[in-house]
Amino acid sequence: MQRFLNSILIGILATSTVAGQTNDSTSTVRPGFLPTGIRVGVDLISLIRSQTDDSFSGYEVYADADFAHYYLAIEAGRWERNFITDEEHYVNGGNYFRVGIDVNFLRKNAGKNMFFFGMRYGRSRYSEYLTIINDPVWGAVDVNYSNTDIHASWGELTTGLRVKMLKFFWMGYTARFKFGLNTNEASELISYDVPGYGKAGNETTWGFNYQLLFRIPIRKHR
Amino acid sequence: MQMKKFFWVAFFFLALGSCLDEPDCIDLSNGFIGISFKKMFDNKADTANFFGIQSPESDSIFYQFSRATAIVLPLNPFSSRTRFTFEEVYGENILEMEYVNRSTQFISEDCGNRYVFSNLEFTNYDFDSVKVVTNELASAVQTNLEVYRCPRTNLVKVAFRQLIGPTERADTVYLSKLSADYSAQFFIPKDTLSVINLPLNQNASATTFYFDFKDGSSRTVTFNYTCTLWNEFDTWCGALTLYSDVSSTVYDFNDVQIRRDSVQDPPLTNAAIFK
Repeated sequence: MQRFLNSILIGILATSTVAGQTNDSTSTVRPGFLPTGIRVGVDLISLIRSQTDDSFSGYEVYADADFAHYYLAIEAGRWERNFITDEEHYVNGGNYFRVGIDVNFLRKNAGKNMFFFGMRYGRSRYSEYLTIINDPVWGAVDVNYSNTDIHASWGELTTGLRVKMLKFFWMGYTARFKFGLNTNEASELISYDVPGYGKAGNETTWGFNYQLLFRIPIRKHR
Repeated sequence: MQMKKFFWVAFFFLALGSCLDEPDCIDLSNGFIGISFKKMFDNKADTANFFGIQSPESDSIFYQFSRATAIVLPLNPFSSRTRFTFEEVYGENILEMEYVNRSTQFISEDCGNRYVFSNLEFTNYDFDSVKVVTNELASAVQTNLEVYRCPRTNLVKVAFRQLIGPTERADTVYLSKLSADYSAQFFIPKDTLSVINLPLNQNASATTFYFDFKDGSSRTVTFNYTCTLWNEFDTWCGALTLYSDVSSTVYDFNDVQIRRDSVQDPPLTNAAIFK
């Protein structure tokens, strides 16, 4: 929560900073409610983490389309967790997507840069398995628990930036405050980790994506 | 250009924040029962002296050679019932519990798993008397069961004393073995002691105790007493034996002085022994 508040603070500072900027383009873009392009991208953090964290494997892709100052955002991904110790073995894996709206607070820029706040609805479908081999008190056991093909949903508040670096090429990040997790697992095994959300034991949690984006123009600005 | 600069500055701070992961080890398991020990006659806390507490399903020995007024014991998450045997200095007792609807959750590689239990029932026990405080299980330490014991009327308390000039002071001794002329159990700490409780034989009018000290010396003392029956706690404890007129005329310590000639619970010093 503290980190989320920090991000809000940074966001407020960003607003004041960008409000005072000298715009590269002197033209004022009139809002049009038909999308001018589709941006697609990939989350670099998931890809890097898959290579550096033995317990994680996953990816996430991103797409958005502009409707004036509003952006329809869709994110989809997959992650798997794998923890092996002498006492237990936990594995999960599943797919997820998030859909929502971002509101761009940079009203005067032709570069489709964004400083945005938004919201998401997230949904995940996953399975998880826990095998307990040895208990420090009760000794050697061999007990299996599983949740197969279960669903989870949650909400998110998002903020972040998208900045045009080259022609057709943007970089961006999204900080997300996740809340309201709802899972439908059987009572025998309580979910530990929900793909797309994180640790199920956290009523609220924090996420961060660093995106590389490619924009496909489909219509010129009016 | 300013926008690009801001992008990198804000990215740095947000990425730094995302590295500060929240701690994993928050134990939400409610798989523990709390037991407190009390004396039946004054409702005050009682100190239990354990040789150990064991469950037939575990190799662990809980509270081995320990003294405690309250303890916490784990429930077996791989069974719907847990049984414990309490091996105490003054007797052995059992406690059996049943529970249902347990759930399991992986917490982390370091913290292991947590277990959630419900519908706890104390199904079997042979303590003198118990009071079930609550059948609800919680992750915080609480008292689920109060165990009341009958008065122990046969414990004569002796204090080891020494004379330094005209002044009498506590003496410390290191016992290696203690026995009696009848089958009795003793709790001897693996350390020096200044006082010790000695159980009198209710089936005799005198009891002899044999002390073997760490320095290699041995001593004996015999206590004589009068027994009378007492029915105050007849419902829970049956007829108890009261001990009075405690005296000692046979000993090979330097001196044994009787300070109180009746036995009480909790024990008060009955005799001072000068080694």
